[in-house]
Amino acid sequence: MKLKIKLIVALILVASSLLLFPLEERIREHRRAAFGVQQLLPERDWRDVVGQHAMLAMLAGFRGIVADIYYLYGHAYWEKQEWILQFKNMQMACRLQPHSLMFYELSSWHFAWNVSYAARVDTTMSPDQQLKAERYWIEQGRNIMLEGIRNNPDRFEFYFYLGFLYANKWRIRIDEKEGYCEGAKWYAKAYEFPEAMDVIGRSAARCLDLCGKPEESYQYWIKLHNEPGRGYKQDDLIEAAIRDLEERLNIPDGTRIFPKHPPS
Amino acid sequence: MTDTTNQTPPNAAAKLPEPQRAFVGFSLTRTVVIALNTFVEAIRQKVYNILLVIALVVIAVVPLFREFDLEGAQIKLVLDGCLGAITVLGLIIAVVGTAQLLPREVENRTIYTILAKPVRRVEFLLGKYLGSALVIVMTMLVLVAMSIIVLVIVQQSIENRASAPTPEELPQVIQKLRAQAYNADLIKCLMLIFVEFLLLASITMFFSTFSTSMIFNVVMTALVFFAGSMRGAAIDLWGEQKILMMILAIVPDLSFFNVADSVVTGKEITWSHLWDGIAYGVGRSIVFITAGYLIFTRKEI
Repeated sequence: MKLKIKLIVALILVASSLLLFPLEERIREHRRAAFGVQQLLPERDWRDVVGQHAMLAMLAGFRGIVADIYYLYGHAYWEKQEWILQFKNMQMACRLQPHSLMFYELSSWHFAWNVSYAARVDTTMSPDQQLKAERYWIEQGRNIMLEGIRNNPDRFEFYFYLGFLYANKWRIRIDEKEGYCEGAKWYAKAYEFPEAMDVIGRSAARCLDLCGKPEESYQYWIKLHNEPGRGYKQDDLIEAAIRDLEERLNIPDGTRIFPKHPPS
Repeated sequence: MTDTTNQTPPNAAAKLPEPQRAFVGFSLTRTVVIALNTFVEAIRQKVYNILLVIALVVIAVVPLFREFDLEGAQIKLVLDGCLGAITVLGLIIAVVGTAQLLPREVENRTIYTILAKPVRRVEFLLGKYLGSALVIVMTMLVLVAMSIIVLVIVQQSIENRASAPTPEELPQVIQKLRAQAYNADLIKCLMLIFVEFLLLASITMFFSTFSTSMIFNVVMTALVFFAGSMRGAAIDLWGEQKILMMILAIVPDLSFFNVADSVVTGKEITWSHLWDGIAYGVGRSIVFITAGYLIFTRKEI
């Protein structure tokens, strides 16, 4: 093949790459905005978990299947009660699919509830070690959900699940006040999204009260009362909560939302 | 007697006329005939049929990887498995099927017969590529049909087992499961996968215009596939190194067509993204086919 033809072909390939470069940049920007940047190998410990074939599959664009397989492995290790291996595999599944709510939710639930309970009743450890291990796994569950929020700041479900973890697990097994306060914070963040359900807003208000902030809780209940609702507003629950707080806070009758003696 | 040794022969000054070669214009009909013939030959091959059967079996066994009774997880597994099988096996069929088109014609000497006829090389090359594209279309239709059957069966079994906190909420739960399984963005995802196959087939065709070894064509296309798939990650990680990026620019960025993970996890694929991806894939394919044509036109067969 003559040199001239080779040069022309090379020129065509290079020139076309330059011509298509603006289109590439546009597609890339759109993908970053829509899907986020999916880091592939940011940490050395990934390589400790991911085998060579899985690495090739990931690089070829089959992250989803590799993530599913790692999640299945993690589930299998859970059944065998091998917590560390379960954790590594489920954590890798979450990292391979950073936008999968299901992986983060299930992984967080496994560690904060199931594994932490198993650690608490593990008779091979002393009572102090049991408590320490339980707390460790609850924190791992919390950390997984925090990572999910970092990768998906635009999804209310992650904030909701973290609030649920704090309000229903952390406050029982680690610190009651911190559990309610952090629960209120994350429930409130979730409720800022218009697609979040009414029950999340009520949970935020209730947790604020149990956190020791009845005035803030009262204001939050009033906000919920004034909103049109998102499907299951439950006006009776809101009214009952407001009445209760108005009593406890000794709100003057004239300024109450639900006065004891309504003006005739 | 005259000396004739140094005399010019008679009529030497009158040169023989050049044989007149009839001008053969480009004919779409001939191209289509070659494409259809290529398609029929390809689907009759045992290798193709075996690969297709393997692909169908892989898709059919995907639901057997049951996790536990979490419906969302099961649907995700099925979708990932089906899309993965379509991508991997469709890719193999597209590349292997295209890689052997030209080398086989040269090996069997049938290319001489064809090009001796009034068939232009561009028609031959384009016809072969379009025939390969038809094979890809048929492969995808078969695999997608199988995937839909599997998905419907799994979805029905999940709906029959679905539960909700209250009976009133059950329709909402089922609606949510259906939305996850029958996601309209899956069609856009499949369209982008199809364009990716066309692009890889064009790259394989490009290599086969100057190489007569099928293995070489397959291996080179595989290398381009891996390099193209990693290009997106390379740009994210080392985008500041301009010289490296300029060298990588010649390799098509195949991560543009990889939206399966995002679709399965609920992200939306906009129409503008779809059209941009199709334009990119078609543009790159045209470039590789043009480059292959330039090489093939001047190649001595």
